Amino acid sequence: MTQGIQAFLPYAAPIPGPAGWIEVLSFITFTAHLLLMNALVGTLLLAVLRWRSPHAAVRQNLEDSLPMLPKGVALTVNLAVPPLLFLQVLYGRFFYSGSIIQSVWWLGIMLLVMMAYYGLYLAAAKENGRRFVLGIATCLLLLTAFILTANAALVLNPQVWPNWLPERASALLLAGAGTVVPRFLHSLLACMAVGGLCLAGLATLRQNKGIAGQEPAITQGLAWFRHATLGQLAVGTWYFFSLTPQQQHFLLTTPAIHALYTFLGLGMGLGVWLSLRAKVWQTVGVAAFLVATMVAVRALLRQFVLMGVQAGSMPPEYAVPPSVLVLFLVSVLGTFAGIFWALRLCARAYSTPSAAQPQHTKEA
Amino acid sequence: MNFPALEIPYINGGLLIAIIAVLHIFVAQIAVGGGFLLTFAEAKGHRENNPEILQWVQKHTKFFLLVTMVFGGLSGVGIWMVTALVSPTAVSFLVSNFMYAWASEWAFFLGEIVALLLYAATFSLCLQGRMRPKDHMTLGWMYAAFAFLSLVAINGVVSFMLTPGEWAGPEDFWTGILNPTFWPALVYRFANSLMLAGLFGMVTALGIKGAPTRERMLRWSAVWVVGSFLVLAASAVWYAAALPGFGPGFSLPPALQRGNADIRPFVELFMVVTPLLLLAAVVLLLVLHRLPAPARMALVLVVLGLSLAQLGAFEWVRETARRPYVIYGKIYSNDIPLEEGERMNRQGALSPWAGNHDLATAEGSMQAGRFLFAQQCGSCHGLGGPMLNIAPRVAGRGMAGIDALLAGQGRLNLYMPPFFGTPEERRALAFYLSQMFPAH
Ligand code: HEC
Repeated sequence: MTQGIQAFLPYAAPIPGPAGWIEVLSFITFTAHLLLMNALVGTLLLAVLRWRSPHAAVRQNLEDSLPMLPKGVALTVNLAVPPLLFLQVLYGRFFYSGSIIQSVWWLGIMLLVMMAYYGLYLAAAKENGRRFVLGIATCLLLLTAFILTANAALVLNPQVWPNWLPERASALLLAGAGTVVPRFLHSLLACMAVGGLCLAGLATLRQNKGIAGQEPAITQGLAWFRHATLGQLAVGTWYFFSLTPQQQHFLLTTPAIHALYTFLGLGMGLGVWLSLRAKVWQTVGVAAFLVATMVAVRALLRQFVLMGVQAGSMPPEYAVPPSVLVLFLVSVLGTFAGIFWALRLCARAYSTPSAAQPQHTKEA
Repeated sequence: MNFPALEIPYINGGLLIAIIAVLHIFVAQIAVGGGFLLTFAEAKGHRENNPEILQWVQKHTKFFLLVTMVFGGLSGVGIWMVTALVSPTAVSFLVSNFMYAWASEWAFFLGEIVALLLYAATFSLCLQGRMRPKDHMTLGWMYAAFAFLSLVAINGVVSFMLTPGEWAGPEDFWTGILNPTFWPALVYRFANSLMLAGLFGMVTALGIKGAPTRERMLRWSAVWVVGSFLVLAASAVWYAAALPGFGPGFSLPPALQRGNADIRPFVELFMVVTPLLLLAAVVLLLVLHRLPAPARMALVLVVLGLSLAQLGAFEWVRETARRPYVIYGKIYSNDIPLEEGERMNRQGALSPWAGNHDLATAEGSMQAGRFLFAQQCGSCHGLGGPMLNIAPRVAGRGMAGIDALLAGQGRLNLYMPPFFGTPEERRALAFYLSQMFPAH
């Protein structure tokens, strides 16, 4: 298999090493991106599915989350940039080919997200036709997620690339459809789980502020998390069996993966248990841990598969000058420090009572 | 090389990039200038204790959220997604050598988003007296600073593509970033940003209710336009002087002197629109207040249109001045690195991505020719599409005529890379084109 595929591999540009460090950066930023994406799409799904909920607290909390969603898109897209950059640096020769095959579908992502983004602003601002707009935005974002899932599947399965040859101009979206479906369902369930936690978290914050009647929102949110997480057992098994025999073998025989799966099992059990006991924040912590663990499994599998394909023609590495690393660290840490400071300024303002003497009489 | 070749009907790669890039740069530069404009205007409002000005700034901020953050942010990612498909070799060359410049740009953009969101969210707190104006303006300054820094970072990479200068390889990061056009391009783009922000300030200032404040803010924004225009014009000359091949006596670099259909009109457009823009800006400053309301809006929109045309022409010329390279002197416009071209001449340009075709048959030649066109010509030439349409350029020349053109390509006419591949492959491409476009 890999023999023939290697002929399809382009040259690889040198990696600004060490590669392991880039894998770590990719792991951190991709986890952050996924968590945000799950929170965003999950909240949106709940807002669409549960807007007729018999519980006022559920409806109210979901409605009050709407203004957060456009901001969520901005941050989710922003946090997609670093993992995509690191993916290109580490595995560009796979990524570019897989995406060129997807052609207009891949390019369409930008338009889909942009339309969804404006839709979310619109839905937050106007009550008229809100359900409709939210429904469309949900479909656009789910289609985006589907294309991205298919992209990841294409990048990870170079042996399906030659299927593209007979049609060429037609954009191939579904190569290896076998893995695409369970893979997509897997992320859909993750969205629902995290969306449920967002609802429960918001309700808890309100409860702590002394707003009454939040219990149904908390229980329901946690229930979404629990059911979706248990559903992952089934979907995960399906996903596993849709992988190639070599990939399954790798997952079954690698000690690091065994450790990660043990963490996953324990984490799932713990998450379900905590959610049953209505421990919202602890459940949130466990959910973040579960996502991070899955990202690690995914990264190891990807490394195994792609290293296997390019064995014998590994991309070279070069040493990055220290001043460049300093530039990066200063930029990132400086930005974080700035953000932290700005948030503190705002927090102080929000906690200032509005009774303070108004500076300008007319206000919007 | 050895990537699949992107084929999208009608729109070729270069056109796709150009459309998205021009719109993105227009909006992104408004964002960069806007950070400064908003905060200066807010400071003015506080200083003069004028709630009307402050309300205007608040409204203007919403506009920034919707236009610059949503459209600007996504189209920025969009350019990257498109170029990755059109020029994967060039993009991987750039990310490999300048990964950390990109990563820093990402961080700055994150800072920009967060600062703008907070600035917008706390505006009413500031107006209610719950946040000190000084603190609120700090958020505005942070937005401006982050936006400017993201411009600095990306400008390093983009200017490198045109003038790599003395850059010697991956370890030579700083020489690449601080390349010969880094500073002039930065000043030019920053001045352009301030000018665009001033123009957009005028558009929204037209909506201020109270006449005295409206007139003052219109003039105030017009000063931004005129002031930055002067810097813009000066830095354009500085920029041109830093381009490769700039001769003494202010003759334009050869790349710009060429009469090609795809560059001459844009150079001319730039030369015409730029002074027009100055004229319009001065008119704005001097006579705007005497005009009736509808005429004002019309005038401001015309100026905005002019500035889009000016920016578009500039960016297009900058892109085409690089021909036949996408990264000057290193990778050709069709994504083929110099050494790779030589290898193709020896071993053939058809990769496994072309499929397996027997060049001795007509069908095989057609398939191979189609691939070769997408691989080597499609980034510049549309196949029946609007950009440098290949149809009228080859129609009726016949296979032998086209083959002769291909053999000479890139030797006399320096705007095209040479054809790369074996003589059989060259004939396959000629056959394909002659079959596709038999006559006028
Ligand atoms: C770097 C961009 C670029 C690439 C790549 C490119 N061309 Fe061109 N081509 C041009 C430009 C610019 C012109 C001149 C247009 C004008 O002035 O009318 C041109 C003109 C032509 C002409 C008209 C005759 C001439 O020499 O002016 C033909 C024929 C042609 N190209 C064929 C091709 C073919 C075939 C390929 C692929 C093997 C190709 N070109 C690749 C940019 C390119």
